[in-house]
This record gives sequence, structure tokens and C-alpha cells, in this order.
Amino acid sequence: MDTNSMTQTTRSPSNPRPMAVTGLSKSYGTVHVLDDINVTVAPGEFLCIVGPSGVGKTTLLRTLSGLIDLSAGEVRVGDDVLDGPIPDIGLVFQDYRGSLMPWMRTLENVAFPLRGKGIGKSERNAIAQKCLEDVGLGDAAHSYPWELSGGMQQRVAIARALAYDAHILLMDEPFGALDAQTRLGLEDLVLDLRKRLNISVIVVTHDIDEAVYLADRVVVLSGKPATVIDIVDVDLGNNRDQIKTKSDPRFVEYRNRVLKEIMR
Amino acid sequence: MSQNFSLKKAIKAQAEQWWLPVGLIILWWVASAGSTSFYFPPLNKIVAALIRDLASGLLLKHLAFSLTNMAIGLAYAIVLGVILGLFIGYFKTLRQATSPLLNFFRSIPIAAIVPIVIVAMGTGASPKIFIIGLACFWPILLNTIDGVRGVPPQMIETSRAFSIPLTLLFWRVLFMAALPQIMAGIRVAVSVALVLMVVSEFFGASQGIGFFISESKQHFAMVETWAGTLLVGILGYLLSALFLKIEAWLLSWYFQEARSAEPNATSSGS
Repeated sequence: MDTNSMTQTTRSPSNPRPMAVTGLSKSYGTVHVLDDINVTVAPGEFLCIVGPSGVGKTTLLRTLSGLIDLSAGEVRVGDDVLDGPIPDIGLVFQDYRGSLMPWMRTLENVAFPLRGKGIGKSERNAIAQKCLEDVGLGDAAHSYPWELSGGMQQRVAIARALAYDAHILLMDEPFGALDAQTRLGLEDLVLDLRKRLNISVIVVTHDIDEAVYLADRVVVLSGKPATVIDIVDVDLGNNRDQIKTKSDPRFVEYRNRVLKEIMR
Repeated sequence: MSQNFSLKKAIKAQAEQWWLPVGLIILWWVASAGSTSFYFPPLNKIVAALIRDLASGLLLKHLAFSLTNMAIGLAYAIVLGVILGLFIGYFKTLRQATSPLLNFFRSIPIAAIVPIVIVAMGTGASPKIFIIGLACFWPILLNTIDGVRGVPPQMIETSRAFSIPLTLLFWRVLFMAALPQIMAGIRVAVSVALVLMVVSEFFGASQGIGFFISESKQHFAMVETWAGTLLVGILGYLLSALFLKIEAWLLSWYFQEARSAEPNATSSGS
């Protein structure tokens, strides 16, 4: 796959670009997984994608990241058609163990993608250190990932995406492997990062409460092949709170609406 | 107090490791003492000859020749085996194309081609280096291929998502992830190298430890034959001890990670 077809010069950190998905379909052989997906993500927007397990959420996220090709339709970032991974997009996987390199200390893990961009070592490390501080891990720079807890490792993965200078963060079930308390903390961390850095975040999750709590809009996928059956505008303001927001009657309403659609 | 205790523990650990080999050496020493058998001379005579020929520099000269060949052969095998292994392991088309070939060559015992190589390449150092290199190449190549194939797909996927260039992917991701298995291959290669170092000097050689052994045997100097054999054994032990040290140093992250994962049963599999 050609990864250089979109040059870095088309954006700068101060120039976040929208992502537009039109008519996206994906088949594996004769298995039709995704059908005619249409959605846009504005700069700074928080989008959650939910759906029953096995519906193709992860496949959708992987097509949005440029890791796998589409069968039909297109994904645009700004004016450019996506045809491979690009520097605009940072990816965070569910399995932090498999995505962090155990032979690199935390700082090097975060700085590693910058090495591929040809950035010099001291600048790399300075950026990585700053991003580790952004996720509250300024002290862990010289630890190995396996010396850290699961939640901390996932924060390292987030710092790596930030260091890469992505303004669109794609996260695949990012908190699925963490315990409940860690999970809530990381949800708030990501909300806070979005606000501070004005990045767009797209999270795939099977947890409807999480989706409604985090998102400006929730995209509900369902069916075989999966289509977008609803896009819910979540009007709960910009200052979410784990207790207050989740006991808001509107939160319950949104959640029930999505739940009904998924269970239908 | 605690220092005293840990010292005791260390002594105990050493004792547990050494009682059997030391016991066997003592047994050999005692049982062979005063032996008049031509083929089984007393150990004290063997050791005396070993020390004498080491001190005179004769064995050191042979040893230097042999070890140089071994080091060069092993170095070739490591460089070529690792580089080719990384490529074959990573690119599926390359793997499919080479797999019948690899399966054929890996099953030829290299010792069997020693005579041909000597005939073809003469009696200098180069046929020895070639034989050692060829023999060491296979375990390193095959282990590297396996190691690369065992790299978690997520790591490769992550590298792709962050547009890591191919050279960096090979050197900092695939090589490092496969390193534990590569080291396992090199460990096998080191012992294979020792065997072929000796065997390759049995034919058409004028120096080397293998030459010393076969030459001594030709002259019915059984004590020297034994001394050379004993030296190869000691060499093998020292090499594997050295190798373990290098491995522990290179893979410290790997052993520590394995230890850190042990008590922690929360990992979600794979």
C-alpha cells in the first residue's frame, strides 16, 4: 500500500481537517461486512461508533485508519482521499500489550513514530516527554511498558498517537481490557485531551453508556451487512461528569434509545 | 546476618550445580590413576599434557586458528541468517517460494559435505569457514523466520498505522521482537559450529585443534589425543557460558517482562 501519497505538508497541527466518509462498503470475498456508510467528523468532534458484537465496528475503524482498503466509496481527510495510513490519524488499539514495544522504554515507544517521520532524536524525545506529561505520565518516561499498569500502558499508547501529531484519534475498544475504575479515569482523560488539544476522536465501543457519556454523536451500526441505522446527537454539554452526567434524565434517554436500536 | 545468609544460599546454589561434574571428574581421576591401557591413559597424564602444550604455546596456536575460523563462520551465518530470515519471515511470497528449498537443505547433515568442500576449496582456512558458516546458517535462518512469524500482528499493524519505514520496521520492530528466537537459533549454531570446527580440521588441515587431535592419533600419541579432546570439551562449556551471559544482557527486557507477567494473571490471553 502506498503510504506516501498524501504528503505531510497539507496540514499543520493548527490546521485540523474534517473526515468525510461517503458510501463506504467493505466485503471480504463474498462476505459483505459494511454497506454504504456515510458519516462526517468535524474537527474537534467526539464520535462514538456502537453496535452489536461482530457487526463490523473494528473493520470500519480499520478502513478509516487506512490500514485496509475499501471495497467501494471513499474516505476523505480534508480534500485528500485516504488510501493508506496518514499522519493526520493516530490509532490506539484495545490490546496495549501487543501494540507497545516491550524492548523500548516508554519515552522511546512514544517517540518511535516520530523517528519514521525523520525528526531528530532530541526533538523527538522532547515531544514525547511533553505528550507523556499530557497524559499524566511525565514520571514514567524511563520505565518499560511492562512495568506499568494496564491503564498506564494505554495512556502511553494515547501519548504516542498525540506525539505523532495526529488530529484525528481513532480508538478501537480502547478501555475494554481495563478495570472499571481505570476505565472511567481514562474516559475523562480523553475528553479532557480533546478539549485541550482540539482533536477529533472516534471511539469504537460495545459499551453504550461509555459511548453516550463520551460522544457528541453516537453512530449506531446494525445489520448484516452493517449499515448506519441511527446517528444520535448527544446534547449533554461540554463538561461531562461521571456521576452528574450519567444521572441526567437525558443521558438515560439517549442510552435507552441506542440500546433499543441495538437489541432490535 | 542477611549477608551471611545470602552467601550461604549462593554457596548452596553453586554446590547443587557442581557436585555432579566435579564428582565425575574425581571418579575419572581415581579410576584412571595407574591405568596402563594404551587407549585410556590416566587423567593426570592427560591434564599434564594439556597444561604442557598450552604453556608451550602449541595448543594456543592451534586454538587461535580454530577459533578464528569459527568466529568468522559464525559471523557470516548470523549476518546472512538474520537478514534473510527477516525478509523470508516477513514477506509471504518469499516464504512460499523458498520453503521447499529450505526443507531440502536443512535436512542435509553438513558433516556429510565436508569431504566435497575440502576437495573443492582446498586445505586453507576458507573451506573450514565455509563449512562452519553453512552449518550455522540453517538454525539461525529457520529460527529467525519462525521468530518473525511469531511477532504479534498488532505490532506490525501499529507500525503500519504510524507509517514506520521498512528499514526501521525491520531493525527496531521485527528484529527485536524475533530476537529471543534468533538467540535460540544462535545457541544451537554455536554448538554446531564447535562440532564442525573440529570435524573440518580432520581432513586436509595443517593446523587447528581438530588437526591436533587427528594428528596426535595418527602418531598414536593417545595422551595428546585425549588432551585435545578434553580441551574441546572445556571450550564448549566456556562458549555456552559466555553465550548465556550475552543472551541475558541482550534480552534483559525479555526475561524481566516474562517475570513481570507471571504473578499478574489479569492479562486477557495471547
